Amino acid sequence: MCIGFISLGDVKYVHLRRASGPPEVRYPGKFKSTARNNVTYRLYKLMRAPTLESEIASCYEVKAVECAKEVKRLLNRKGIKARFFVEYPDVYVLRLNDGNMPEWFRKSFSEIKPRSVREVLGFDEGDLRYRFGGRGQSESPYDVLRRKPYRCHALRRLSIEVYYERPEYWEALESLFNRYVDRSLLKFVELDPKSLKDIWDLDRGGVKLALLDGKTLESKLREIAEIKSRSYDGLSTLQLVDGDTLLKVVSGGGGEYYVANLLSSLLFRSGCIPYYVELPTDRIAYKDYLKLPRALYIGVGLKKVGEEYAKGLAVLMTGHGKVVGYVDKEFHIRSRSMEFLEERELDEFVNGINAKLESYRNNVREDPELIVVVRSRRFHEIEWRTLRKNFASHWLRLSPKELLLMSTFKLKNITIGPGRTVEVGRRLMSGGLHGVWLLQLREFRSTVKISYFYTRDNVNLPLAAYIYLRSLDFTSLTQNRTSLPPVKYARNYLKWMYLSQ
Amino acid sequence: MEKAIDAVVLRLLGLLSRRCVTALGLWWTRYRRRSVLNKRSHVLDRKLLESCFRELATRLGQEEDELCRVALLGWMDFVARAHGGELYRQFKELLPDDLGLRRPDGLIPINCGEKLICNEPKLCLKAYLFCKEEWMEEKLRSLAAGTPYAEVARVLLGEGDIPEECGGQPGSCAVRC
Repeated sequence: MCIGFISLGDVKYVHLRRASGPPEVRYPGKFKSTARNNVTYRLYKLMRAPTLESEIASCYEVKAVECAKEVKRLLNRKGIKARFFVEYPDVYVLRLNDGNMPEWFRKSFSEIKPRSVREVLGFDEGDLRYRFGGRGQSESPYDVLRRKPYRCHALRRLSIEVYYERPEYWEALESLFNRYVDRSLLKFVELDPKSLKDIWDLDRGGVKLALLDGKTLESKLREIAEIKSRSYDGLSTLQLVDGDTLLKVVSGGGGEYYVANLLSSLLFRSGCIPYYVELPTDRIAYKDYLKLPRALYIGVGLKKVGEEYAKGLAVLMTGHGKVVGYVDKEFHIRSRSMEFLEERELDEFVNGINAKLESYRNNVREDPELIVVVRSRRFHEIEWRTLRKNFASHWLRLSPKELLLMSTFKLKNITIGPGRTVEVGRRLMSGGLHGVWLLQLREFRSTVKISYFYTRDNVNLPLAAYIYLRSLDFTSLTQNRTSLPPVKYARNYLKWMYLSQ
Repeated sequence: MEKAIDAVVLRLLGLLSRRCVTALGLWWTRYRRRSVLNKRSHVLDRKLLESCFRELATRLGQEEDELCRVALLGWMDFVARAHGGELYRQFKELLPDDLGLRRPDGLIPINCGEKLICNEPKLCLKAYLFCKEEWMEEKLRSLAAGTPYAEVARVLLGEGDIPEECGGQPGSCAVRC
């Protein structure tokens, strides 16, 4: 459509806009969309201790855990089931009931209304764009089925060995690939079928896809775990697939999604970056978000290996999703809470991470704008102090950059509404800002709690970091996934290490 | 008769050399990137430049892919700089809209000195066309080779033609001596 026509003697600069809207993309989500749209929980802030005719919750300080426990008991006696946040004990999550809250409740509590993620951040996960190789921008990562990877060492052909235990597994895989993968991409990704004679055939170099019988996966778990853990080279180069599941996919539904996940994972394990995630720069006025693509992400995973011991692993990943290093360490833990007990051990761990960071910095000859440390559980105060101390004294002194410490976990069965977020609380503390967000992206089945410490004062950055980082998981494209890639990689590695011992 | 042939030959030679000068002018704006020929552009074959510009503008109107649009605008920028005058002024005026940089409220949220802009390669490419800052050139050169961003960066830095994925270099822009 012509929207401007400027005459200039002989030349006419015809100012044209795009002829039509963006290319149509079959956005996944029809059958995978399992998100419950109903809101089951609401958040309330306690303004004053509830007073009833017969009972008074004896609270002197509404922000104290003791008070929260007392109030919780009182609410419970009145038939209202509530939970509170340890970090912000004056904030309660209440299960919704059909009727309105009684008068005494409304006098003591005020609701914290969820807001849309887009309203808070200026964008949400649907505004991210995926850039593939050549001419290819898409609204969906599932276009991995149609487009060449964003970046790959193999220019013409990428060969992947496929070991199958039964011929029908290979036939199923081949038919799925032929059905769903674009022809030009099939020429690029070459599957090289091999019959599996012995499980140790998998213990060879190069990227391999193993199509195994469900029974073999159980009976030879230890051998498989050993091969799997030995295959780690930044990321495991061995992709395991349950052949029986594969057969079900061929006869049932969801083949397109299955193949897309598998292909993305194989490309990534081969050292390619399937796509680059573009932030919606036209939507975001807040420039701090632009730190995310150049940040360095450190995912910390923990696995209990004894009554009082845990193995810790840190995976270093770039803002483009590339794994650049590992650091591991054994820790004394408080057996139930899985929190590190000895500060010295954590010191050593952080020093190890610091050394890796240093070598990364020397390799790329650039300081990351921001360092994000992510783990799946709440950070203990000691961890925050130790990490800060170490980063502040070693890393941050070398380059005056920022540190975001973030832990995320799923609050099962709690929903605040799709595409919604709630800020539970924030407070300024020595060296930075602490806060908690609840987030339910559009396809999430439940809410994710994001707890953070940040050496700057932008409360929205942790939320944006979660959304951005989540999109860099090339091993799973499923829309309702809640785990974050470097943490997931660390935990998977620990799982195989543990199983092999 | 001979005189007539001589005149034609001389005229052809004249045209050829004008074409050479035009190719040189275009090379110069690509090489210098921030230069506009302006007063010296009358020695160039403006018709040739206009025809190239027109083809690029038509392609731009049909182009969906943002990176390809940036590549086309990159070449339009060189041609407009060589042509100079009104064409260049109009191109500069419409560039923020063509790049999709102007917000609905009319503001262009680009601070040419803000280093964070180049953390996002696509934004860096667009911002470079808009700002033509030298520090951005360094960032564009450091983009990972083999990626679509790097290929478009080469175009903006005057080192490459429109990528094949974006339809390749228009025939009318192949100005050679």
